Amino acid sequence: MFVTAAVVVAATALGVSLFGSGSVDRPDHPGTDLAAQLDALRGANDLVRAGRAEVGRDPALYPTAYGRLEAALPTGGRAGGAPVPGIRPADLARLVRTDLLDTPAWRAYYVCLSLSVSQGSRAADAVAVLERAGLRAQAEREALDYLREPPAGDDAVTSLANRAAFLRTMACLGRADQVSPGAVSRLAADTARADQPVPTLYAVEALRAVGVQARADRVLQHADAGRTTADCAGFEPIQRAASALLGAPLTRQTRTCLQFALHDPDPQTRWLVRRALALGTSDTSPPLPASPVTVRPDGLVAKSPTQLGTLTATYNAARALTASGRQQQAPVWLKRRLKQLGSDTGLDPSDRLPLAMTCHRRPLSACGPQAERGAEEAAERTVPARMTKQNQHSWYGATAARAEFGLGCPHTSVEPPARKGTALPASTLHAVVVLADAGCATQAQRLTEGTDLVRQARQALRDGELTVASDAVQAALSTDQNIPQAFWDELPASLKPYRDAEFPDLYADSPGGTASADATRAAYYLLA
Amino acid sequence: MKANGWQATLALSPSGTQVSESTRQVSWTNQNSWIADVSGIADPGGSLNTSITTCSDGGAFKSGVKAFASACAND
Repeated sequence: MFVTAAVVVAATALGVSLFGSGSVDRPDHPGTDLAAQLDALRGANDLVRAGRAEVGRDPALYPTAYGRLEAALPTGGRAGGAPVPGIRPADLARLVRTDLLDTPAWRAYYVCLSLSVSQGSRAADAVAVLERAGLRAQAEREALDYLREPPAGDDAVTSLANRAAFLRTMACLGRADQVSPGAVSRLAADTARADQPVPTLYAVEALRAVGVQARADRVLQHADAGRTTADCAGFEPIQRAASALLGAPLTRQTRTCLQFALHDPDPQTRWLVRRALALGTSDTSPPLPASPVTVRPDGLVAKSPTQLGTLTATYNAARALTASGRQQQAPVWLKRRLKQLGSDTGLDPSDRLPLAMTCHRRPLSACGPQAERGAEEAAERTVPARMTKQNQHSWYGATAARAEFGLGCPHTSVEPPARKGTALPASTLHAVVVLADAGCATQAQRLTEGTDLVRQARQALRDGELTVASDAVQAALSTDQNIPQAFWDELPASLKPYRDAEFPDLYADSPGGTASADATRAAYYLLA
Repeated sequence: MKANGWQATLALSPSGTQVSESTRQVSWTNQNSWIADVSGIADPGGSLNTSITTCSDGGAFKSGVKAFASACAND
């Protein structure tokens, strides 16, 4: 039943574009490399990404703190790194307010690290930033409370890491006198007992900032074990670097292992690794390779998020493959992932529907029980009686599901929009296409009355709006508006500027842009 | 993803539907790890073709190292 429905609906959806306006001569076999080039849209979770451009590369406190420290380090025999751009207090304060991942005391710590490499920085600068962010008092209270009485739930090294950071923060804010001598003594004693180099190093450095010489006895006693580990993977590079910085011998093996970590994605690791590799070097030592960190002109450093795909974009890619007649060629990684999601009992219920819709487009259509449940749930999903600005996302999702599974025209209405001239707004065009796909021919007809959709498509292509142009053509086909052969003849040339320069069988939303799944789907529906 | 030895699984709803206008923060301390889902900004044009970037930042202590990882997706 499920397989049969898949074939029928896929044919119906394509039929709209293939048979809507009589006999047409369309370009031959566009998208030969579409399936292979979808690799460019592969997300780290093996779903298709909405676009090829990286997203979320915004500044954050963690990369700003360690990225600036790393950028300030000397390279090779040079005495100092390149000057690190200064940070305006207002910019850093805004980041402290908006980067909510960490507690106030940790955010204060990152402020201190970030400003420590600014020329002529003073305690007053960090205080001013935290005051501006409204967090100074909270940060100090949290740090002092933790130093006085570390929470019992934190293990020994986590407690050490927190206390080291908070002592350093109090010193940076010029408030070290508020930390009780007992808390400082306890920290020094725990530092000598700790077995992990990184928190031990930070504790030694924080204690030094308040005039206390601490020892890293246990780490150094155990340094031999790390040193003789021939396998670099046997000891985390960040811990290996900290061990060397605490005074463990920097053997050739250690140097080799640290060299491998110079391009580690984590800026904290790179900072400690570069510091360790600088030990014992001279003016004649070969320089370290340039650091990969980019400090922005405003002094902040952006994070480098893992880029994930989504089921929505995957569905769009599946539609593009279907439209180009290449549904059999879906990438192996994608087929494997969809199958895995189909049997994932932990899958969020809201993901079942787009999974089912995507799997419906694939020839095997056997993603597993979760996709089957999603398909059943599509029939139970109610389309709102009216599409409004507030509900248009859910309205569109529910209507698209009915269209995908051939469930018939829902009882719903879309109000004719207020128009400027005869062109339809993009959102109305999009609604018309999905209504037509769902079998609501009368509504689609009514909404497009008086609109020359081919003219609108041509204008949209000139204006750099590929998805609008594609929707206009789909709407024209579904409402039996005549599309002249000249339009089809012009299409390959009209679409050329939208091809991704690096992956020409993928398309961008606007000329010269990078590929998106949505635009690629739109392009192949035009070329189908 | 992996951050200084910490293997993190930062999951976003694959359909990218779980996005709110405000910033949500969920913390838990029993495993010394925490995560924040930070919403993106919807296209104010209000068309059906809105694009929302959703990011999830995570932190954890592993062997006394405070690690950070981030993952993002567009809808």
